[in-house]
Amino acid sequence: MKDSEQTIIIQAKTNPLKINWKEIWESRDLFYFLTWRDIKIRYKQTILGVLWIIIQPLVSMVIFTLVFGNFAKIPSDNIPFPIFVFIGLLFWNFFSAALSSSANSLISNENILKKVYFPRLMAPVSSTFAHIVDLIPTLIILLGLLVYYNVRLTPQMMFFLPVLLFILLVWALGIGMFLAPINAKFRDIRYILPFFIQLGFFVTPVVYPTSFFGGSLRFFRVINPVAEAIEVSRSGFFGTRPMDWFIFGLSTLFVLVTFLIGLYYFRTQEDKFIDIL
Amino acid sequence: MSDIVIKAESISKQYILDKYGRYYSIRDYISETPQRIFHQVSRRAKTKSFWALKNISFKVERGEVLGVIGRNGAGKSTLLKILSRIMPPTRGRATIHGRVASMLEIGTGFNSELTGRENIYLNGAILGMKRKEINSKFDQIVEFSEIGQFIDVPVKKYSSGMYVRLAFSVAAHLDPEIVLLDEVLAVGDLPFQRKSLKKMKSIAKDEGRTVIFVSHNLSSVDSLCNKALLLEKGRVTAYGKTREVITKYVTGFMPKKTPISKMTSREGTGKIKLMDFWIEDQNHKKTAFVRSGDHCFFVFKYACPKKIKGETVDGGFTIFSVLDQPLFSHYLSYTRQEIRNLPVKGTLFFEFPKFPLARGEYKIGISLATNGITADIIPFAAQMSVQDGDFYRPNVTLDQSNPPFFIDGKWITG
Repeated sequence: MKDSEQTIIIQAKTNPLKINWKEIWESRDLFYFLTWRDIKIRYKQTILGVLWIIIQPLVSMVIFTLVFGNFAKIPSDNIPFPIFVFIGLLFWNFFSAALSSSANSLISNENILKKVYFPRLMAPVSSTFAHIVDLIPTLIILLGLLVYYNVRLTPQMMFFLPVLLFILLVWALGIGMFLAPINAKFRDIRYILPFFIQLGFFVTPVVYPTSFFGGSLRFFRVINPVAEAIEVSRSGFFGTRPMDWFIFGLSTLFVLVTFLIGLYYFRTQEDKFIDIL
Repeated sequence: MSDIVIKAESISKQYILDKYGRYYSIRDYISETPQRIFHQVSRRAKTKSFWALKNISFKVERGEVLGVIGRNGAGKSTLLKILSRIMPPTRGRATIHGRVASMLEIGTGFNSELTGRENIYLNGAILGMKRKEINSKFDQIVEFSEIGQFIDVPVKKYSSGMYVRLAFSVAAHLDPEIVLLDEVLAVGDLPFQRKSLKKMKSIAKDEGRTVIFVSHNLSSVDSLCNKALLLEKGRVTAYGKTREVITKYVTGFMPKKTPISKMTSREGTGKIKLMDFWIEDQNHKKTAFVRSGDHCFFVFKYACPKKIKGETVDGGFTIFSVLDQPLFSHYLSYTRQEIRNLPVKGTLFFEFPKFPLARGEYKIGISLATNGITADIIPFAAQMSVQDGDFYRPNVTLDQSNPPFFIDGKWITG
């Protein structure tokens, strides 16, 4: 064994800024298996299995179209309502699922965390990344809708879709890393978080356009990157508004800052949460 | 370069005891705020705390097997958790050189929805194996676990025996340089227990592998470990050769000495009563201890309430290890020396030409019988201590660490 001369020093305080990248890199197989486990378990117990992740967004699209498009007559910037709401749901569902998994990642991995050492960051990271798989059927449906409504998939959007999803993943992970240790300490976060996620759904332009309140919620989009992602996609596909690079840049920066704060907080709590888990 | 693989320097772990225990909610936190502020302002804040570990220091050299023993709550598991990096110490530090695998329980992270095969990969990865490593050991693991055709069945359908067998097998195929083991030994049914014990022994004895082994099973600690550490209430109370540490641990439980004549933990008809017991050296002088190979005597003093008429009297003793394992017995009847017409009072001697036991503490049980019916039996009548001696060659002390016996005999060569 070549790594035989590795030396581990165990002491009271760990420096939150000093992340052992080598160790994280060496845990990539563990990352793979934890993520794979989360995915496997999620779909193993549902009767419809993989079919469920196709049916769920389709059914919600139909219901939202009926309720908000047909009955409430919410404007959609002249975008066909089904695809309009589908784009909103795509980003929102992905973000909220990733956020709640990463915020609960310490509790759901409690039994392993208390018995084996591995870089603790693996818990929120693998829980978040497990949601990428959910995107596959959703993106296929999106493609179908684009074809159905004769929308061209421009190279620009081919680039933006994955980038926007990745930004949201990072944001969900950042907030999740911040919430996970708090969640370990205060067990009622678990019940409060779904409420706030529900609230987030309504302050995010999922079922209404950003132009709903006049303007395009420009600065609100900076602190709500999900709104930014939805806006960029809708206007990118349907050319309703030109690309607002300034807001996109600010929003991305906001995500980065949130992520770093989350990471830092997680690292400062790393040596404490085992005692309270 | 010195070959110290694990070095612990005054490791301490403090726990804060709060009234909420493990769970705490924001609701409680908010409603307690006025009280908390009051306490802080009036400086009455008394946080109760306790030290689960206090100033634990030791060194383990490459290839050594260190046993950690102690009663429940002595801090054994906490120590292992700190060394495994699951939780940090409150004070102190430890340095470990090499690839560590900790086995604090078996089947960590097993998921009942997943199949045996999937769990092998998941559990292996959690224990620190690389995917390639698991691939190459997969067949061995399955074979060792005796799971066979059920490997592709979800483990929720396994019997509990199958489950632990699979879990143990994954852990047993780790290949680290340092192993931290917590009583994961001996799982499953009896044949599998033997198999797993054998496997653990081979892991521990493997060349160059360093092991810290926490267990309540003193005989496995005795046979596996070169050194032992005794923890009591978070402190080290003994550290050194395994046999000595175990002896110290076990004698801590032994009841205070009462004179044999007044002992109450005895049974029998009472036709003969053991009054006293002691050990004499070759010059018939009372001695506190004997050395292996010494010429010595066990002396039994008895008394009968009434003269025993027409009955044959048998009697003898059994020597036990501190772990209550009987080592050997000797009775009058073994050598056809039963006594007819026993005097009302008297002493019996048993002569050891060469005392056969190795260094350590031993317990002695004594019994007396008339016509095959127990008259007086005291399961734990006395305790004796044996020191290193010159059993094999005059004036040459042989340090025989693990086996308890010396044996008369010789090699015939050529």
